Amino acid sequence: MQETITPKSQASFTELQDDREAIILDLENLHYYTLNAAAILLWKNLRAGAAQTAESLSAALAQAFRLDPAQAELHTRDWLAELARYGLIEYRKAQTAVARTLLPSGELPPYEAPHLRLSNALTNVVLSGSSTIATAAIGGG
Amino acid sequence: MAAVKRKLNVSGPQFKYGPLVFLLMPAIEFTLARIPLQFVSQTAVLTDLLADYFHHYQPRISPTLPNSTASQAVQLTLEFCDVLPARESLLAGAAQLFSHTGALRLWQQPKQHEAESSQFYFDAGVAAFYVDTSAGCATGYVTPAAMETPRILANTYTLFPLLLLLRARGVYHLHAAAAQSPDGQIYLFPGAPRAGKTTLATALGLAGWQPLADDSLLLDMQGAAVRCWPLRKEFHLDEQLLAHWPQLAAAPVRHRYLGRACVEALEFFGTHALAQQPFANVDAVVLPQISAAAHSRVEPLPASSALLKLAEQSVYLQLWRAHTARQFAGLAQLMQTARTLRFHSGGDILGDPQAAAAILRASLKRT
Repeated sequence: MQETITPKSQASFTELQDDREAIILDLENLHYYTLNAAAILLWKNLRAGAAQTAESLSAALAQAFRLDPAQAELHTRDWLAELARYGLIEYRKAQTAVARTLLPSGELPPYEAPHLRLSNALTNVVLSGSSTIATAAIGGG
Repeated sequence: MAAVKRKLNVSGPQFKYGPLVFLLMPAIEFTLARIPLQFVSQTAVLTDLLADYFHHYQPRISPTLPNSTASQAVQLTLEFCDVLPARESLLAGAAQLFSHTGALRLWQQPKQHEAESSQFYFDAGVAAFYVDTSAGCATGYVTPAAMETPRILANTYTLFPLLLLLRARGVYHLHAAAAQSPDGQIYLFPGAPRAGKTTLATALGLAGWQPLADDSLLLDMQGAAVRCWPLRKEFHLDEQLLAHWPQLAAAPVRHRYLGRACVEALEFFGTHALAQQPFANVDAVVLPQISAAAHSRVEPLPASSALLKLAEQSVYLQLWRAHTARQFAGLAQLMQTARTLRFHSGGDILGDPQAAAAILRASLKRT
């Protein structure tokens, strides 16, 4: 049995600039994450089911950015720990794990360790749809 | 029917819809985005107010109470009352406070098993609305105090329940101004109140652009296709801005309230017909921000920040996750090929509204 990694089904991924800028919206809690290029590569591999283990993801990262395999593995494991903390992935036991590599077709930006930036701006309902809201509040509305 | 007709005095300072003739049970009907709407009230002054607010949609006056079930229309009924009905009398069970912004509170019926809530109570202190989104109808209760600021009753208290009903039909609100540049590019200006949306849209209009909306857009999702409709209404300009820009002296002012002038900007700029057409994508998303600096400037903005701002300015984004997902996908699709900028609106705009267009033009040349 192997430990495989599955992305959260409610994690909606949107690529805004090919392989360079993307976001994940967690539709369960509306956390909004911005991903850098390395994180995009890893998430796309996870999401496509191309790589399902820390090892295969590390290999994809090393290959795409021409990294030292040890460095790639360290960064990948750190990033997976971050994803797990945010509840964006889960680990499962499986008989076999797929290990292919999904590589970007275009040129990548200089390497930075994969990371996510979280915004909680969407978690609360704010009735901001009218410019008179503030006035109404002041005006005794 | 003629026997029950009565003519309203509609030429006073509050209501200028025109020489309308209402019936005892006045109702108005029109289509917003693709959704047929009906406003019904036994009190003509209330339908008059809404007919005035939505006058760009040329609402039809219905002589009889419309049948909302037969027409599939969204229906909003307004009633005068001295005291607002207790929330508990309309929402059974322990209602949950869903949102509290300023004086506005939105309560929802607790979820029944896995089903999403469809019953809401919207409390604005001087007016309240019971909304049943599954039935596509709402009833508004209006106290005399609400009529002290009728523009707020129309533009805020009534609009929010209406937007809930539209959301249930897959039409989503976006808090943004929009304008078309002289070379035909569509610009969106999303932002919180006081960010400078109206100022920027109006300044661009004075520089030869075509402003489409100063505050609100409606995102209409049908399948995978997205259409964005300007919400056609008056621009609510700060009176101080009018004083700064004598070029606007000829613009018709329909109403004035609390330091704001409701300007017929679509007519003034000649964009009424253009604003009737939806657009499917935008060329630039520009986040306005009022700055204390003397000179305005733009700076590049990551697309992820612009998309976050669009989502932030989407009323009820958090309500009903299936709609959240569709709405968010629509926003992403809308700005798929857009350039994204932040516009710091400095003091120079007040002196010379043409400066905004010059700065945006220059930024376009650089990219």
